[in-house]
Amino acid sequence: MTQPLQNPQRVIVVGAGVAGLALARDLAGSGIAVDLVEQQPMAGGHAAQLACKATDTCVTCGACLVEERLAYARASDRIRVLTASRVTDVSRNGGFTARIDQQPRCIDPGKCTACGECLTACPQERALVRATSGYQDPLFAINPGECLYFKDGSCRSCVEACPAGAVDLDAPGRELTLEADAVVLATGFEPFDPTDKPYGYGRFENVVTTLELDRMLRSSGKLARPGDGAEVRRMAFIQCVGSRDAQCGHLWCSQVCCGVSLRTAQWIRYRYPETEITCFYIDLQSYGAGFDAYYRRIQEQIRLVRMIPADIFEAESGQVRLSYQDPESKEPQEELFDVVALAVGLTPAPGTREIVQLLQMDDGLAQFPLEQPGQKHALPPGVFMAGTAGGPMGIAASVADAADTARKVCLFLRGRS
Amino acid sequence: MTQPTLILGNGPCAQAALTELLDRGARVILATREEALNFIPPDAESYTGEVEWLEQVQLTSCRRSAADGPLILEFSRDGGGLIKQAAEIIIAEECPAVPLFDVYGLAPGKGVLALSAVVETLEKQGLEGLPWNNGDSVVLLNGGHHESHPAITRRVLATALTLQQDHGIQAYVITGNLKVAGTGVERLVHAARQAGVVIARLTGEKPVLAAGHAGTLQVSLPDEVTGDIYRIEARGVVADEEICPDDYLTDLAEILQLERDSDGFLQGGNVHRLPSATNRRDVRVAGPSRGVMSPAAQVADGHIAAAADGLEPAHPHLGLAEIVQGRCVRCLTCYRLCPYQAINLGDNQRVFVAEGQCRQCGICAAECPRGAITLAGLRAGDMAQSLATAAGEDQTAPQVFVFGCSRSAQPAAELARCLGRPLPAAVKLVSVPCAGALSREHIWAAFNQGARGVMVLTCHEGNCHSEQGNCLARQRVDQLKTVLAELGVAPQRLAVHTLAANMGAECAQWVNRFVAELDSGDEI
Repeated sequence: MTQPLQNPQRVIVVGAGVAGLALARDLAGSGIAVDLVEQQPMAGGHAAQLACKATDTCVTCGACLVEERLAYARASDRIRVLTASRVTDVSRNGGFTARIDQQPRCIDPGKCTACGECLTACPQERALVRATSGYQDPLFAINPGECLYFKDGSCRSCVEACPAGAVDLDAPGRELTLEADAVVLATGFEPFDPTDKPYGYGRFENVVTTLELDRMLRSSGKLARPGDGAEVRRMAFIQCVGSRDAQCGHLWCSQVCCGVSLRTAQWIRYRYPETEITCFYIDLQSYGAGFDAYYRRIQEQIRLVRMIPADIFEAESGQVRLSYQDPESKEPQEELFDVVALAVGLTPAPGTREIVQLLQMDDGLAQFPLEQPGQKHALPPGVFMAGTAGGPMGIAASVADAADTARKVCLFLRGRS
Repeated sequence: MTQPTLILGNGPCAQAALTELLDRGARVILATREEALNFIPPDAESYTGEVEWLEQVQLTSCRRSAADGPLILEFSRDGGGLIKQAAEIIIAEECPAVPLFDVYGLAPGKGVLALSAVVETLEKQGLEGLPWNNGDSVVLLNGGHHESHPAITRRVLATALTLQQDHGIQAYVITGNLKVAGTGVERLVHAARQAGVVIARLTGEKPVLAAGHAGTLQVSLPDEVTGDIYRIEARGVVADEEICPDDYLTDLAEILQLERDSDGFLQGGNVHRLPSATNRRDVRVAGPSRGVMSPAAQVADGHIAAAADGLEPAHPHLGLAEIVQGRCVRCLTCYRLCPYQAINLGDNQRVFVAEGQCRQCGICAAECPRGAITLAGLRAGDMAQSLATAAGEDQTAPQVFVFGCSRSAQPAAELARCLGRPLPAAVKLVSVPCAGALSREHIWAAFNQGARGVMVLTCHEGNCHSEQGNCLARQRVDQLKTVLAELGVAPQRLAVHTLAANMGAECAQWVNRFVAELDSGDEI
């Protein structure tokens, strides 16, 4: 594909989400070798879990942008993708030396036929994960953190179920030492956990987050009630869950949630025209081009209510009852929905703090530095940040931020060479 | 000597692009319609590149005369003109902020000012420059009738905060959907509220305005919670603004054959162009020319556009488009259809493919009525080979061929397999660089090979890397269905669907349904 590099400069990119992958591609294109260190068993980050929201045309959700970058990273001989890998130590001595702990690769991609029998046999949720993209590698992986065998040796169901003998639970993990001239934090975000919010998340089975909804739609292509798989006749979205929230100290707009909810709602209406959708919001954010005209069309298809529901109850039959004050009549209202999707916002990722601490940097850098007032926390020379690790932004902005960071990295490396 | 890069623009974005290029030792021409630069030109000692400044010029045409030649650019200036050459263009033109007095029923005048005017005056002269005094009430309008933008809302809130905190003004921000989806904007809302700025939400499209006491303007709107009418005696009203692409961007789009989005910004709505690419490899677009964004984002955009390296060939196993001059009759179909403007008519009246511009989509080869264009790897013979290879050993049994776009269908089929829904054994997937590369001959070849059915999978409308390759493929399929019907062949044996790379489940669903319908129909 490309000319092999002779003694290239090297960069470690921590995090292989859309920003990390875009950055790796830009750096590789400039003749720099990249080690992409991803803590999850698969690369792609959150973007690789999102469903395509196209109706009869593309709606510019950007979810497909991660696909090509995954393909590029996998194919490029200038980029090494290390999945299930954590940075355990970083030291500086002119450049950077990082110690990486890679978890064992128990499913051999050379033997795996993607039949999925292991996943069917596995009794423990999240212990065995399946890829969400045809470009991810591997396609199936075991998560030692959740796996019963790793906990107490009590289960070998996957080994027994696999017809190709691809599972070796005793495969060793490994430690690597990486040398680099620069390090980039592309450690992404953590979706807000709405358990403590009064929306019944975690208690009512038909209350889900928009990210969970996306995963369902991406893997099945269908909308169904999470609880019992029944038809969804009435659905509600609740915006700003965990964002614009002084109480949690989240004084930011997560920028993507209105677009996610409205595009998902349009997707649903296109395929299930009988499903009624209501969106509870505070201030709707724009997205894409021509939003004014688009907004008028949305209002014909989706009921927009400028109020956040106060309370939520589970009704018989698993439906969810929302109570809110109607903004027009000012009267209290109660409505039943089959599914309620909480548009959860972006919060700083724990992985960012881990690296910030290893690099002995200011803790403010682990708390969405872009969204903090006053003086920006300075990154030390040779350390860079890209994507949502810095603050909430969408896929398009992450890709642009990655391009700008790649430029800064190249500038820094040129100064060193 | 390498040809220079042309930058069109005169603001912080253009300046950022310029600095980036000069630091890399590049040759640059910076051309602006304005009389003078809006920024201080960099000190010649500080960079290794070269720059030529063109003021008061407007681009009027752009063409290539030879396959290995540069872009030949004509500019108009003062009734005259000049001609320059360049390798590539970066468009970083600013778009004007248009005050929206009409929308609110306002007339500019004493006390009624546009947002930009207030911002600039406060910066240069403080409150003295404005017709307001300490203790007055000022209303700032934002959205309502239209959806505003975080870049504007940020300015409105910052202005309100300054007036409130620094100048003793009681500021009221009257707003539609408060556009906070920008870095730091929500924090600004919070700070403004804490400082005493009143942020009132419009329930209708605009507040009611009337003459107030002693030269004030009375602004009334219903309170969003109680419904009671809230009245403000305002000494000043600041009208909202909208940032719109101006006519020059429209002209540039026409001259360079660039895609535009539905607001009129360059780059089109195609996500594959992000962040700074266009449908042409030799044109990039940055900052205000591609959308409304904050000043910081504009500067970053200028840097990105200048730093962007050309991507590697999209399909390394395929050749570039080649025109067989003996067969070409200069109908210019390829010239019209090439989404990358890679095909041009030379001074010698020959049609050529410009070096470095072809992206191997294959649309030209598929559409050429004389079969005068080939891409190595995509010829009819190559396709017959691919079909035979895809069919495998099972060459005698009637197959179902799925022609899939390499960008979407191929990865989607792979994802389907990973989701435990592999395509049925009778289905053979044949990957093409772009669905637009599929000619009628390719599809016939599949039927001639005894295919029971042929399905074409393309990218969604608006998501094709080659802008309209997907639409062209669909048109061809529709035309062929008519022909099939006339031949007495069931048109259901040919189908077309759009999808994206991450739609594994749907890919499996449609293909399985297609095969099931063919099985049940059985009118071979």
